[in-house]
Amino acid sequence: MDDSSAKPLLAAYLRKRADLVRYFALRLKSAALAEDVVQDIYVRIASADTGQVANPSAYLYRLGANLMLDRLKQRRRAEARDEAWQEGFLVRMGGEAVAEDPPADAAFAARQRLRRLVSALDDLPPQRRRAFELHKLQGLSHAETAAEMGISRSAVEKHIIAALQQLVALIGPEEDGA
Amino acid sequence: MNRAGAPTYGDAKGEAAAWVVRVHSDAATEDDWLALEAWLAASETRQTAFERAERLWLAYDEPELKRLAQPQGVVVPIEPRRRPMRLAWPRVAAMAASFIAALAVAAGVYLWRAAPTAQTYVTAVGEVRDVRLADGTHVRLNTDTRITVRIGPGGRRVTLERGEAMFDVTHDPARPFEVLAGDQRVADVGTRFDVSLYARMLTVTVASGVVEVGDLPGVGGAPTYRLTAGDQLRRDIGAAVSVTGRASVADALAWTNGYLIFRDATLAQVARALNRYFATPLRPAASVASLRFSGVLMLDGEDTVVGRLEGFMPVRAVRGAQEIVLQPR
Repeated sequence: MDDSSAKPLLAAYLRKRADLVRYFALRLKSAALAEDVVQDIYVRIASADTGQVANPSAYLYRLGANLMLDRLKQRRRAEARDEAWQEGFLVRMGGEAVAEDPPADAAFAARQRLRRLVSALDDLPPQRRRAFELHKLQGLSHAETAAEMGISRSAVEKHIIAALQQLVALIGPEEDGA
Repeated sequence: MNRAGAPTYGDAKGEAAAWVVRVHSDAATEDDWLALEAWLAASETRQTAFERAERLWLAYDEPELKRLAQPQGVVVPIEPRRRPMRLAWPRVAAMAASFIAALAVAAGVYLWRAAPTAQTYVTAVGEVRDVRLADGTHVRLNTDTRITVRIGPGGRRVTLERGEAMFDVTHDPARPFEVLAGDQRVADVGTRFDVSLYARMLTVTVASGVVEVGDLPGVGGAPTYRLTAGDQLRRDIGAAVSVTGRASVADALAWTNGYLIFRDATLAQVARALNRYFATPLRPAASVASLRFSGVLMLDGEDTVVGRLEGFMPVRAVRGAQEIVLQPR
């Protein structure tokens, strides 16, 4: 039975699949990795009840962007484990490799990284910061942020873009994530 | 950004930031993503710039980061923005209480580990929020308010950047509690008081206990005032002296119960007070601006409040796109 009419996301997915693979292949420089991400998108929308989505096609791209980042993080963690292995931080227990990387250090580093992202907000001019915080941290839409700040939507977008640009400049590529 | 074509921000980094914001907006369409793809395909530099900007953008979505930025976790506006502002007091209190119960431990850990890292609390227009600080002090934030809190082993400092807040301070002689607002420092020894900063007018009202109001550390000049219960200090920021007098604490703290009290106030003053709470500003026409009003206004929605003003006073509201004008009737 075709349930795509009842599930607009699934319908959009079936229609957009080729476009999604092409986009993520461009991002990941690998058709195989792109297929993985697009498959992840399918698993996610088939298993989760996402409710109403305003623009299903755009939503699939956004979902894919998040899933791609998750995959990159996992890969980086795996690489870090391999490195740790070579440096002798792994011990064998019952034949299985167990990471000996001190969890406190890892947690500390992760928290430091988040602190850095939060403290970087202090360096933004007030309006720019407020627009960015209302949108990103409080989850208001551009229009809601505009109403909140009493400025136009396009002014909000300019503030948010300028904020992101400044944050990219402030935060080194090693600090920013994943 | 120009919807049809590429954004114009000069270089790949600026353009990349613009694309990230565009396509990750909830208003983004399929066409936006197709246009992005075409933009990315043109150069490696663009792909690298976009990847960095997008990774950072998504990093700010991490729930852990949001908790660090706002340790109480009450980052979601208490009333959804989609509906007109409404101050639902029992719900505000209940929600705040449940958040505090759920997150007190986590917030405490963040505050102490991070000390003296600043924690910032913000309310939107029309929003009122309760915050329990790590030291047990209760702060109720009024509409459109921003405070920064630093709690360290040697002292507790709150900076009121704008708006109004009521403080119910937990006594701790080892760690003095102070509020910095405008050019003044309000020092407290365990009491309940209200500080507001609107349009460069600082007002301090004491409900119980004793506070001292004096210049910021390192700023000298203005005298220090000692206020006890029922005292109120008013001051234009930067002025040589402040004005003190007796005030009705009930009037000054009425907002914490969801209403405002006016005594012989002009309609212009009433509108100014109400405009702190509502998204669409009220403007009395010149011919009615000096009409006098005494009474209590519940803050239960702009339309309802405007309706009541129409009932109490010889005015009628004319709604425009940007403002509501009160015209003579």
